Amino acid sequence: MRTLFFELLLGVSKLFRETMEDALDFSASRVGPAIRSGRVSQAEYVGKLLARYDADCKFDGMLVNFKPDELKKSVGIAVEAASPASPRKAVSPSTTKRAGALAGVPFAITPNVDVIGLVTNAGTSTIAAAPDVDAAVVSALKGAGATLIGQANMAELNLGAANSNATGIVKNVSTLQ
Amino acid sequence: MLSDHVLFQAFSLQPFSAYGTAGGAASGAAALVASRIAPVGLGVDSVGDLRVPAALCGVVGYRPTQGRYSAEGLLSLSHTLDTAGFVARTVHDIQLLDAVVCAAQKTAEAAAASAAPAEAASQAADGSATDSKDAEANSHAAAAVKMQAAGRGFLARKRMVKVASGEIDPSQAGGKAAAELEKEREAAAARIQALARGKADRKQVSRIQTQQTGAESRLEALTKADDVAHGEKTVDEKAAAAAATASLESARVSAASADVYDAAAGGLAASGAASSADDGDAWGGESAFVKDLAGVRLGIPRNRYYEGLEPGLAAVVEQALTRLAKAGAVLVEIDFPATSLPGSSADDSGHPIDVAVDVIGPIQAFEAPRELAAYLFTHVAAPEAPKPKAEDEEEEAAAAEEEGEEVGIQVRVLLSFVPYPGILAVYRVLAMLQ
Repeated sequence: MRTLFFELLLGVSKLFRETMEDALDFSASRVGPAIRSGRVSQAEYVGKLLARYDADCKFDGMLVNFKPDELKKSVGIAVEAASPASPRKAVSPSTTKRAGALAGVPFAITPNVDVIGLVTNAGTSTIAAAPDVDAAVVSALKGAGATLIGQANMAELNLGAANSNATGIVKNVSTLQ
Repeated sequence: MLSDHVLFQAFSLQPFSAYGTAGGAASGAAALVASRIAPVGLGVDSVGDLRVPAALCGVVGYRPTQGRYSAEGLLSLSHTLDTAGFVARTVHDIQLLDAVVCAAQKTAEAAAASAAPAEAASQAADGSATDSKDAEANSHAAAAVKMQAAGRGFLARKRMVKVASGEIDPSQAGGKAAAELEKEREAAAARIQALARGKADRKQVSRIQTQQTGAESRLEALTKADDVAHGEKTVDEKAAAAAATASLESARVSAASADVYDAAAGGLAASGAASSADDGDAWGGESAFVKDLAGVRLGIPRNRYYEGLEPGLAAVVEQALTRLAKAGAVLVEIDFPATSLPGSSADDSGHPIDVAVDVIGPIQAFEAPRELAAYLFTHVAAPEAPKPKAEDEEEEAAAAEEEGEEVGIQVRVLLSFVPYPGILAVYRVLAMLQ
């Protein structure tokens, strides 16, 4: 009886607890509060997302100019190449005084949106612009606490209904499953 | 342009036969959201570039009203049509993101509004504007602010940041050269636009086109294949047409491996050079392609011009429609989406039109050169000697050719995306009819 009671308690509490496996499938409006309140750790969440990308989608050409090590460092995940002398401070949005509405939510952009540190090339090799200023929308998202994962692939110059680039081909994921 | 590539991809091997396409422009972002790698994607939607990939991947795509989000920092093809948009998994997410961006924009606007009067006050306090250096600085900063406010101009944004951080002192000679560079860039962008609109010097246009090898032979193959299909050629000519079709196949294969748009549009562009005697304009000669338009009822959207369009754009679109009418089509004004279109119901009789035509193509073709010129010309070395003022058109054309030499490669790639608007509309109609 007691085991049944505890199992019931556990099952009921699962309804109100987000586990990491659930969080991976969450939409942005659930991930944000989960990370802000500390129930889901952003470092672990982003780490699992990257692991999923490596396992399932790396050869589908979705991300271009992808630097996972930098992303991991910015989120606070241990990177093997890091020198032991440099202390890594864990970035957890839940400890900030006023966490934004999108605190800890990862997002991806297409390469025709300016981001500092990334090359804006709209999918072509003819254009390579290194902006000094974030785009207005990007700075709005970052100001709300969102984390940039990287640049997603796109058709060259937004011209096209199919995506085959010098950088890769994006397949329709719903037909692969 | 999403719909244009229905035609252009006829010239390319389609690598997606084994699996579906993710829909083009913002496909990477939509695929990432659909495969649960990222919960949010940000992209640019011009004519469904963000919504179609979202639909094909089974996630939510959102395009806000034009002007709702600031267009600063977007590498867009046409500021009239392009806007930033989101891809997410639920509509609730979209509401959250939209609220976040609008709130941030309101804050930024309020900050800019409070900063502007303070700046003006400090400028007045610094000294009189009669000093030439101060006037230079004021005009420089004012010009930069104006370009920034227009929402485009990558150079202007870079310069604004440097002026704000004190890196550029506009009173020095470096500032002057930058202002001249800007004027030259504007002039060159206007020249590219004139080229795309078909008003440029015929010699210059044909010079660029003859650089593309095999373009004219490909055009001949196209026209001969069309004529054979319509049974207008004799047996002897059919043999020649068969050889031409073989060369067309090889052109298709080479187009697949090489630059697709360059090869396909090379044929389009060469049509202008080959038959430039027709109609008395540089890119004329649609007679080879418009045999099938006689009596076809084309539906044109009634309210196709809206506030905020560029001033000369309506004329360009009307020009394209005139060409369609000249080709024999019957233009019928319709109201999207209230008009019943062929194929929309099981009973295909009794539709007022045969084909509906959107006028988006000319809009993008009109605006794309100027939008992209800001990015292309950042990679061209600035000329060291100032250009002499052109007294008459010939000198200007010669100077344009000179400068065209420097930027030949980039301009060529751009031109392959921006054919003459009339031809583009004709091609889209033909593709829809087949």
